[in-house]
Amino acid sequence: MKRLKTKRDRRTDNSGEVSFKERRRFLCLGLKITSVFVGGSILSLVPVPEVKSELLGVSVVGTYPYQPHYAMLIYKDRCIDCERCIEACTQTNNIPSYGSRNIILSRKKTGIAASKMIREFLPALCNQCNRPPCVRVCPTRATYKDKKNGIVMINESLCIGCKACMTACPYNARYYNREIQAVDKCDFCYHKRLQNGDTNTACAEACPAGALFFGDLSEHKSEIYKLLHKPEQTILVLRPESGSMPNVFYLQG
Amino acid sequence: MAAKIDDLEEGRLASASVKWTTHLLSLFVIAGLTAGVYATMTGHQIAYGLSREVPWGILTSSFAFFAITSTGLCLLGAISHAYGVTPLRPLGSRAVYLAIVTTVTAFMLLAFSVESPLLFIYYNAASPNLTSNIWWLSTLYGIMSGCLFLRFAFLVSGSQGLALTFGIIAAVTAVGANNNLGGLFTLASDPPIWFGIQLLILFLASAVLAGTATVIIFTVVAYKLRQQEIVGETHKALETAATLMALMAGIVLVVTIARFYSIFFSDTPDPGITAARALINGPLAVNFWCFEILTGLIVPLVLLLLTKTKSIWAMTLAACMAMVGAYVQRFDLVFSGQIVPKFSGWNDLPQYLHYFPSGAELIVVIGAFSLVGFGFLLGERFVGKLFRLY
Repeated sequence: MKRLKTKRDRRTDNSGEVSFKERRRFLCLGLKITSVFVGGSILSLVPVPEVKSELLGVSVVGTYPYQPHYAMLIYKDRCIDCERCIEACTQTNNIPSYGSRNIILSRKKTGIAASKMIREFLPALCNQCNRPPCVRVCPTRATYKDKKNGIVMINESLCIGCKACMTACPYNARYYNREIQAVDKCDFCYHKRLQNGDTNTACAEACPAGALFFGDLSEHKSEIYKLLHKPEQTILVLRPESGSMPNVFYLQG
Repeated sequence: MAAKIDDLEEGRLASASVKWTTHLLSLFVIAGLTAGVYATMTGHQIAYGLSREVPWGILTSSFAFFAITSTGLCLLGAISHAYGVTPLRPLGSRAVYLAIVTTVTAFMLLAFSVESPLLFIYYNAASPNLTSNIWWLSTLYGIMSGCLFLRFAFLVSGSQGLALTFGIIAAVTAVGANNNLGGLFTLASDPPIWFGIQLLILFLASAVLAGTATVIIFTVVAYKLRQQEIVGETHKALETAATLMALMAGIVLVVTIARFYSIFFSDTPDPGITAARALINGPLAVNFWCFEILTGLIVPLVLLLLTKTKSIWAMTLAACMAMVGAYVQRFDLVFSGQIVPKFSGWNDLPQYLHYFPSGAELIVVIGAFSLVGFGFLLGERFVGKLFRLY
């Protein structure tokens, strides 16, 4: 899979350094999704500018709608399927045995040597979409996008269990929790950790391979912002055709 | 045309066979209600054959079936009474009554389709989400059923003016409710098989098709119960209804073809095409070709055209077949949107997910059909004369 480089790409390559201004200019280039499908129908390669545009939720460059704007980066090649993220999530958020807020997808794919098949793992969780289909379909506003931090949350007491959000979610990120009699989903550990002063999610903290990276994208000096905005970075999102503008991104390597 | 409620009773329908049938149907209704309450108390994922991947099953599709049918009946009642389609008038009052019965049935199914039905009633009013199709459809069907009750009450009391007014309001809300029922599927970009404006037209045409089919079936049964021959204006009304049914069957057929044409020859994302293939040559192919298309549309259309909508037995058979097709169509619509795994290609997931209704679900559905039969028999017996006062 080869991505065509822009003139500015080549200029930055020659100088060896990329200034913040140049980076910003680069990010403003080319706002169309190339949608080159790699790794099956659910993962699509999206150029950095588009990611930024999708993050904004509007076509305004340089601002973020939420303060803080929480997001997660997942290095998909680093996941070793140890399931510690699932275990940490289960313990932190009291997930019943029949449910899960996060899963690890796996499949066989051809390795570097064409004859050799290797296992590929893909951690998946609620994508905290900027345009969440689940929020639109909920008849009682039980599920909503937090106006401050953009996390898609659930008000358990309002949930009637119609499961419209479960059918609308493109990521199968929701399940019905019989214990609380409401649909349950990942909230980036907001209730159990973030609102108590923690800065990391349980799954990201538990990952021994450093595959999960959680942070605040509204903070330009944050590690996650820098990782996401590397000019030559290839960013992938799950099922971009759904138009939900996810806040969980996948990086190669 | 004022009438006392007691004067409307059809004494001759108090026969032993009608009574026994009514009692039997009431038992099925009680069984359905019991199964629904049991499922609500134990949890749907235990009592129903549903899962995280397939959260909507036969109860949701049955709800859609009865809700769409009630819309069609409501529209039929309105066009025969309010909009001056006089040939249909002899069927109008029965259509209104059956619309009430089918709406009540639809609400029963909706109640057992959600995990917390009592909270639904409360929070639908206390915490409305105006972007939600479920909110709009439940609210509009609620208003529609209220207007239909009032309309029927005014028909009984002989207040034709008020009956017409509420009939028009009911018809308008019925169209809105039906559109939102369609919107529940068509406005969702995921799953892609549900997305598309054709479905809205399909829902409306299908509503009128189901409404005409229902009123034909129950009118014929009502005359059979009374051992009367269908002649005169009622015969003409049934002919008009059958013509309308043939027209709607044609429209539904064309829209169905257009829908699949646009799925296969447009930029529909892969999960949408895979889901459509489930209907064309996959696990739902028998449902689609044999029941939806052949039994539900083509054979009824041919029957009606060959008999020029004159034959009562042909139109009754066509109506029965159209209703079978419509029921299967609602099921296929609901299930086809969930049949393709959202992470297809990963975790060794099958190409298509499996769903089969549980015993509790089937009992609730049998209870729902029995409720319609029970309501029909009660109506024919206790206010049967009203159906001739048009």
